[in-house]
Amino acid sequence: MHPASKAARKSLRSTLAATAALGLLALAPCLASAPAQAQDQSQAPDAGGAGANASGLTGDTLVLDAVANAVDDAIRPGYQAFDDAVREQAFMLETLCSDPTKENLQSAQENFGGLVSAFSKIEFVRFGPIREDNRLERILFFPDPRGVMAKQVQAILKDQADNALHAETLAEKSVAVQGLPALQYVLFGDGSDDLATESGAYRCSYGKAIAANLSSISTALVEEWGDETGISERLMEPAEDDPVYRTASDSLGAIVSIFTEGLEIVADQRLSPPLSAEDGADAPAKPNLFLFGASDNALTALQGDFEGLQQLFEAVDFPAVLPADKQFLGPSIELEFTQIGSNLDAVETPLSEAVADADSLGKLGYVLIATRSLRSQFTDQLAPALGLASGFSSLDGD
Amino acid sequence: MGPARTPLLSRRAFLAGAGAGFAASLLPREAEAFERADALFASAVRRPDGSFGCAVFSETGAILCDVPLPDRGHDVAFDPVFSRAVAFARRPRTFAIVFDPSTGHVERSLASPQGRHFFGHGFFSPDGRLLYATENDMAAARGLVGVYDVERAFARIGEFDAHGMDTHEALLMPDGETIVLANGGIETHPDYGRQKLNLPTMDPSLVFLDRRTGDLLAQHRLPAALHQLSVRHLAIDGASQVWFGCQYEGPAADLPQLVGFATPDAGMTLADLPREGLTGLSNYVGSVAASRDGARIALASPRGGRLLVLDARDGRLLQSRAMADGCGLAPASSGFLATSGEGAILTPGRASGFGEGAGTRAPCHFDNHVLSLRLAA
Repeated sequence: MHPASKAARKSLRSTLAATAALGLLALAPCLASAPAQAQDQSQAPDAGGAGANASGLTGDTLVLDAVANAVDDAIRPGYQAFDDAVREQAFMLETLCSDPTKENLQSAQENFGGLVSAFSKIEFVRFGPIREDNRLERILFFPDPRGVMAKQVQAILKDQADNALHAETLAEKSVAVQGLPALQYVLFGDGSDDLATESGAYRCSYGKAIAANLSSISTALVEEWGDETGISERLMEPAEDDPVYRTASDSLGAIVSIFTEGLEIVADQRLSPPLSAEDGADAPAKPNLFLFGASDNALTALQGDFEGLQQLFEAVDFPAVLPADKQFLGPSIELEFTQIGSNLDAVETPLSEAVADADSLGKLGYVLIATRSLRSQFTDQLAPALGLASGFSSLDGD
Repeated sequence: MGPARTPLLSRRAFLAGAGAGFAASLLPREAEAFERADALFASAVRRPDGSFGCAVFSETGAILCDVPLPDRGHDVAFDPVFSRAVAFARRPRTFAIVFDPSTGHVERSLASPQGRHFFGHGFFSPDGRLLYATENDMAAARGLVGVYDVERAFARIGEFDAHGMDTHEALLMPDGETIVLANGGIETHPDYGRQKLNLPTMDPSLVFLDRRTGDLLAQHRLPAALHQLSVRHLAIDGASQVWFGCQYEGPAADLPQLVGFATPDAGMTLADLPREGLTGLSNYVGSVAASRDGARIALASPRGGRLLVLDARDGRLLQSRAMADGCGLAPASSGFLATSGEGAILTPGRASGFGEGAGTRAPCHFDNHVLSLRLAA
């Protein structure tokens, strides 16, 4: 996205670091290995330490390079791809509404999977612009244990009010009727066949409004992540007076949180409830609890989740900031991602039928266990190795 | 915490229990410190092997007893009349363990009823006969105060509507009759772990109830623009004002005020912390405590790695210091004791707020809250 500014940033930091490292080397050669230094501090923290471990300037440089990698090579492209997918869906709906045919409906429905995939790849970035104006919930109102979305969308389709047909007024309505689950209902829910005929005109226009509203959100996300004075800059240039990112460790902590939070969400929201994993060995699966199961995109969403996380993991280049004795974590985490991916790829679709198949069910059960194991590699090994506060108290508010 | 949360534990009773053996096991320096100490502390912990417990410990970090818990605990309640402590499960778990803090003997374990889970906080009535616990009615996402009859084997004899969801900390006011509770306003359901389900429509509040009837005495809210400011933790100062600490679920850059005080009549007033005091909190206050004399209020932000002390009279910032992952707070002899998720214990020394220096270390990770058990002479 911004190769020039990225290179400039990195080179400035590298120069500063080299200067500082030389000074340190002259005084104390043992301090030259910054990640190891950070690690030492994390193993012998004292109560007087700051919230995030302070590391030397050299360490900060490497850490901020890792943060820049995440922003430039994963987060910004991820939001751009989501924005592109939203526009494509909007175009498909435009076509369908002006020419309601079975073929155009099918195209719009098929395209929805691409939109689900694009969002899934970036959905676990849960800080920054996505947290403004309830954008996350407006894109993805889930989980929805009380079925609020279906009730409210059905009411809209019944009442046919005008304010659901324009992105601006739709944005003022309940978050549950604005996002991907609502669009899924429009395209795949009861009565969606009407979209292939003139009788589905209102429904189609509502779908168009959802896409237009999503487009305004995705465009804002791209712009705000691209803003050189916005979230990216705050992450890459942490400052003492910032409410969140005061040190390089705070910024890296935000990147690591994408993995820890994302893997927790996959396990607790996306896999465990439909697999009835907490309800004992003999409890029947509840496939209707899969996110995007109604459009047969449940597997697509899960695959996107892991692909997005794996791409981010590779973009960050964690080995560059991990101490020598923790280098094994890179390949170890990569291996787990790969195994999860290949198990998902081997599951039958749709997932509503896969859960009735012992082999596929076993693979999904494996993915749930592996997701938790992968998360513990991030929380119990990678984060401490990076000198990030172990966060027993802070990790999860209460 | 505050005056209502520093009950006395008889030193004689303590020494008659496990105390004697405990005293013999102490290093000379620790034994001396224990003789001098006027309080013990209790906190849910994670042990080095990953298992969970509730530890009773001295200011020096010597562990007197460590009661095993089936899963992660949260806060501890104490009744000095019968020397009973209760360690509550962290939400959304369903257990509470009743034990004698002077011996570590487990009296019984409680389970929240079907369709309910504990939110992690509670307290005893002044006569030790009733236990109150904050609970979730999962299906309705409705906060409750469960009432348990201690003498009838902790039978659950009733429940009070908390008039909000995500009911978190509850305390007994110094009048001994009024419950004050914080409705965090965040919907969760155990089917989805600890995921927050309703951030766009949060409606946190501070509620006062009659502890005998459950009647709603007052309910207060912050201005609507702050509806994503989850009111969660409480302490009562010397003037019976309720200090509340919040976590902010809105955009981090908003940096709203996170602490304030309230009375049943006057409603909620936010303090006016300077920006440099607020930034250190990272939009999150994990616990609040009042000093023994009720003149000072301490706040901890484990996310920001920051501890603050305020003047309870005017909310003025008196002290700010760093403590990595620090969250547990309790009044100590002069100032405050603080613990961290990394196992650090910070003692006040002669300070009226937090002590200087690095503190001591215990062989466990402390959870978010510490209860002070004062030792009588």
